[in-house]
This record gives sequence, C-alpha cells and structure tokens, in this order.
Amino acid sequence: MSSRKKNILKVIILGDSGVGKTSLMHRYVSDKFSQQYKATIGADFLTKEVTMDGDKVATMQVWDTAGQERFQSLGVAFYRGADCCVLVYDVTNAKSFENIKSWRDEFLVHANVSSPDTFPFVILGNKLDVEESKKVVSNRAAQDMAKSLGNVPLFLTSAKGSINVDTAFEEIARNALQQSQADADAFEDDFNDAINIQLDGEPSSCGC
Amino acid sequence: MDGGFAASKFESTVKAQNKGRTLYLASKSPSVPNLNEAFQSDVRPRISPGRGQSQLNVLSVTEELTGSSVIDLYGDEEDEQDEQGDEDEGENQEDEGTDGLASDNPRSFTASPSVSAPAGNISSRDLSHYDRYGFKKHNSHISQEEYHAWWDDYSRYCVRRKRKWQDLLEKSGLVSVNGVPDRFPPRSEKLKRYVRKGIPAEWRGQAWWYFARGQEKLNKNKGVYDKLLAAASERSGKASGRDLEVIERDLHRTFPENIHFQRQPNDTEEPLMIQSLRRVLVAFSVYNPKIGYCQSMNFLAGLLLLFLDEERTFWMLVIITSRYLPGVHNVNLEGVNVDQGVLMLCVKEYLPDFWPKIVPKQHARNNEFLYKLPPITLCTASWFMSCFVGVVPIETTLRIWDCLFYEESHILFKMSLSMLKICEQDIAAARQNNRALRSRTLSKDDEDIEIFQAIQTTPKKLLDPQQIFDRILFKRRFSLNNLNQEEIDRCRKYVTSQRLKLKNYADIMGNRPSANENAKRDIKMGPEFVESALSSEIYGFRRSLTAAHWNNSIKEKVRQIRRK
Repeated sequence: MSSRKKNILKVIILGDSGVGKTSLMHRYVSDKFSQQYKATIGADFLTKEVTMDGDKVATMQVWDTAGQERFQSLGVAFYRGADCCVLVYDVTNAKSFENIKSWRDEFLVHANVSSPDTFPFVILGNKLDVEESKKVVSNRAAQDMAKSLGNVPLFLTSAKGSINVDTAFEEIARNALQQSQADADAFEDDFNDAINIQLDGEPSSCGC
Repeated sequence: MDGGFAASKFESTVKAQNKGRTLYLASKSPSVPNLNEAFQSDVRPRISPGRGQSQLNVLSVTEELTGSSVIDLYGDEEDEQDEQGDEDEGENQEDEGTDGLASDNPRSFTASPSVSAPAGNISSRDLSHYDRYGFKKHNSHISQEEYHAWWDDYSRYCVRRKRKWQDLLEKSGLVSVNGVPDRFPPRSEKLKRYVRKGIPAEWRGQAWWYFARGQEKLNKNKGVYDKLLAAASERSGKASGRDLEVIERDLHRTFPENIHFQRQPNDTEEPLMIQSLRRVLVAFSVYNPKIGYCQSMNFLAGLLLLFLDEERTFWMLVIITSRYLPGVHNVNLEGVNVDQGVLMLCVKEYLPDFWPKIVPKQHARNNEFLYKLPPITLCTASWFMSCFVGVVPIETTLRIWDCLFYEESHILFKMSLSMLKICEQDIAAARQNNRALRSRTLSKDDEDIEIFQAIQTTPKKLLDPQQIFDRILFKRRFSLNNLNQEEIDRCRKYVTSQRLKLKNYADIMGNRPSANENAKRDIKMGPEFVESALSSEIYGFRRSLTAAHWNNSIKEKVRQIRRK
C-alpha cells in the first residue's frame, strides 16, 4: 500500500443556486438544518472526521460553493486536488437537474484530474421532503441520467428531513478515499520513475 | 414535460410578482426609521414616501421625534442609560433628560425593536433578541452575553461620537433638520478621522448618499428608476429570466435573520423589504445587462435598504458596482479576479510572513499567482463582492461602509489585509495554546485547513469594530497608511494588463496547431510559459521600492537575456 497516505479527503459540492448545497453540508457535518441559510458567495467549507470500514480514519473537507453560473470562474484553483465531486439537483427544479451534466463537465475541465473516466462523482437529488405534486424530476429520469454519466451513484435526499444524507456521504467518503489512494499510488509511480531516470543518466550539470 | 411544468410554474410566479410590483410601484419602501411602523399594517399606505420625495421620508419620521434623543438609538439596554452622564466627553447634557422617551414612544426613531415594539404583528416575538437594525444579536459565533458585554461599552462610544459630530456640524455652520443633517462639512483630515470613527447610525443613509455623491447621479437620471421598473414588469420572464429566477431565490436568503426581512405570522403579504429588494435588483438587471444580477448584490442592496429609500438604494448600487468595484460583478467576474490579484500583491508587500503560507512556492516565483489565483481568494472574493456584508458582524460592516463611501475602495483592501493579519495572529495563538500542535510539524494539508478555517471564522467573531479599526487598520505601526486609492488604482491597472497578457498568450498558444499534444499541454500550463507570457515588470509599491524589488527585477532581466 502507498506510503504517502493522504489523510485529508477533499470533497466539492456543485449544483445550481438554491438546490440545497449548504443545507446538505450542514446536515451531514453537524446534523443541523435551518431555514435561514444565506446565499453562498465564493465558497465555504467544513471538516468532519470519518471512519470507514471500521479502522480507516480520515478528515473529510467538504466544500460548499456558490451556485450562480458566473462563480465558476472563481473556482478553478480549488477544484484541483479534489477526491470526489458531489453534484446536487433539486427534485422540484427541472433546470437544476438538466444542468447536472454541465456541472460535471465544468468540473472535469478545471480539476485537471488524472483520469477523467474514473474520477468519482456522486449525484444527489435533494428536497425529497416536499409534497409529491411539486416534484418534477422523476426517479426514472434521474436513474437514466446517472447511468448515462457512467453509472454514477445516485441518492435522493432531504437535508431538511434528514433523509439519506448520511448514507450518501458514506458513499462519497468511500469513493473519495479510493480516489485519493489511487492518486497517491500514481504519484509514487511517477516518483519512482523520476528517480530511475536520474540514476540511469549522467548526473546533470547544475543548471544555472 | 418536466421542464415545461417548471417553466409554467415560474411564469406564474413572475406574474404574481408583477402584480405586486405594479401595486407598489409608487410606494418605494422606506428606510429603516419607518420600518417599525411598517409592521403595523394599517400605516402601510401612509409610509409610502412617493416618488422623488425620498427626502421627506427621513423628515416625516424625524418630525415625530422632536425631543427624543440620540439615546433612543443607542440605549436598547435600559439599565445603562443612567450612566450616560459620566462620559467625560459628554457636553450635550440636554440629551440626558429624554432617556425615558425612548421606551415610551412606540414611534421613536430607533430601529431597535426592543424599545419600540409596536403592538402589531411582531409583538409575539421576543424582540430583545434583535439589535437596532433588526438583526438577531446572537448566532453560532456570538453569544447573547458576549453581545451585551460589548454593546454596553460600544453604545456609549456611539453616543460620545455623535456629540462630537454634532459639534463639528455646528462649528461648520451646518444645521441638522430635525436631527438629520442633509449636508456635511467639506472633505478634510478631521472629517476623515470622524468618518473612520463611525458615522452616527441614524445619519448613515444621508451621509453615505452625500459622500458617494448620490444626489448628483440621481439628478442626472430623474425618473429613470421608475422607467426601469415599468420596463421590468413588461418584459419579465423573457430577457432576464435567468436573473429573475436567481433573484427570486435570493430574496429570502439575504437577511433571513433580520426581522424586517421576515414574514410575520399574521402577514398576508410579503415583507415590504423583500418587495423593495426585488424591485431594486430587477431594475438593476435591466439597467445594466453586463452585470444583470450577481449573487452578493442582494446583500449590498439589502443593507442599503435599511438606511435609504428604494430609489436611492438603486443608485447607490449603481455607484458601488461602477465606481468602487468596477467589473467585480460582471458576468465573467474579471473585476473580482483582478482585485484578488491586487490583494495578493498587497499581502506579499504588507504581510510577508503570511505570504508563503498562502501561495505555493512554484506560483510565487514570478507573477503566476496573478493568473492562477491561490485558493484562499475564493474566500476573500466574497469580502469584496459583498463589501463585507455577512462576512463580519453588522456594526463592523457599517463602520467599513462609512469609510468606503468617504475613502473609496482601497479601504476594502486595507480591511482585508487587517483581517488576514488577525487570522495570522489567531492561528499563531491557537498553536501556542495547543501543546499538541506546538510540538508537531503540520503537513501542508493541515496548514491549509488551519488557514481556511481561520479565514472563515475569524471575521465572524469581529463583533467589536474597535478590534480591527483601532488595533490594526489605522494603527501606525502596521504602516497600511501608505496604501492609498492611487496605489490601488495603479495596482489594478497593472494586474489587469498582466492577466490580459497571459490570457492572450494562452489563447495563441492554445490555438496553434501542435504536433505533440503533450507539448501543447505543457506550454499551456508550464512555468516557462507563464514566465514568457508575463513580462518581468514587477509591481513596485510606491513607498517600498526596496532593494529586494530592485534586485529581483534585475535578476529577471538577466535571466531573460541569457535565455535569448
């Protein structure tokens, strides 16, 4: 196993404005819900200690972002080094669901991940607590979308009603840990390669 | 199907809004002095200031107040009022006699619901939890006890400062009509000092308007606001449908903790403040399509509405987004990126110890950080976009705003530097206090988290403005005094051109057909590229064209020559 084990898992929450990103983060990290969250400007983050499979302990760093489209240009720098990306839509807002794919693409463009095909995403359909008549995104449509994006795990959640949030974040943590280990291993390979090259070649004269 | 349903739903919401908008077209909402009345539903029609008569707005309220004192506004704790006479600076003894009026007069000028609770809709709430602007006193960062301990002192400070202001106005031959001056003395070092120490709360609206030269703007644009409102109701749901949607969602996420923005249990309509906020933001999105609506403007407009009527709020928003924060709210947010670049240059200059902690070495080597802004700028960007509203507690915010309208935007940079300085101190103190941390060398990841945590929570605890104003911002030793508006403007130009150069270069390199995809990629990202794209001109702060800078720029030149 990798010796350079990263104990911090960086998770980024993306999605349209008002889908409940801040609420989900607070529900997961501090098990609280409030009707009084303000619109997020820039980004906020919270950390939580997670234990997985009984023994692995890590610090999960959850980043909550502004949902308005134009804020994407600010996020570029901090997408890097993410271990998992959470895409959130609101089950009562069709537009937010349609935008899931573009949020994913946007992330991949800027995050500069080593292998875009295997990078872990998790989709959350939030506000499950609202009355049936207001829901406009069918479960079927959501499942199809998740499948089309490469079998991305999908959870229907309610930050308000505390439905499925923990389960979803457990999955997120597991995915993030896997990704982080994969990255660390890749790093180690690179590192070893670099050393080999040095050993094989002539010691280069000092560059001035 | 799904989409169609949502769209039609949205349309109907918009229609409903339009109805409201037309209904209230002529009744721009009042500034805070009237707000307490606004809760008495029967006075709603009466408080409408009517178009173009915003001036009357303030007057009509203050007329009712003849004889009530400044303490109305400052003494929301009855027990402290007796002690006012002890103040050494207290000259206006006549103020003392009227203390009692505050709590007796339900229509008093004060915005503090605790003393002026009308018998109307909000009586069911415990108003002692709200401050004089209607904000909740305590939150997850500040306890009720902390709040009262601080307010006990600060309210007296405010009373003292108001007396000073009154003296100053008198000496300048300016009369205040019913307690609120409509003009202020000409600009001077003394006036600047007074502004830095805080403008009396009940004069703020008028003072901001005056210092920002709002009337000038309004005179040039008579009737424009109403036309915008009319235009907005005609074409809503079409042109700026996207903006409207975001505005609608943000209305209730602006000041949910402020009583004036909350729907009261017996209210049949939305709070007036919410209606005003909607109109101002929608009108703005029509007025300036380059910006449209940008999240964070809700905070700017929301705070302005607590102090100014709707039309003035609108023009102040125009002034802030064009004069003080040019380009910051534009669709591409380039202005905020430029300002973050400027801030980073300032950090390098004024907080050299903090600098290496926030900018990775490889990006600090040349000006790369101006293009690849370090992650903390994601947090500091919001300080600029919302001018600290919601970032620091309300009294501190207001003191920053006092300075902003008098001294312009460089105050935001100074404030940010001061804030980072406090964060730095907090981090050091936390390490000092935690033995485990002291003995351990932190990993880069841990250090980053530490910094982010400080940047997020430290500002929220700055209940007392003095903590940052006296102890850091205007302290001589911190030498921020050299950072003036001229310097910031120069710096902004520099960063703008550097970012543009880099962008152009990236475009050219990116478009050039290349045999080797990887090579192209390297060119795109590598430091070599940045180095050649960004010229070696290094920004020199005026005061401190130090040897170090000089050497660096020579070194850079030599390096370039050698490469050739």
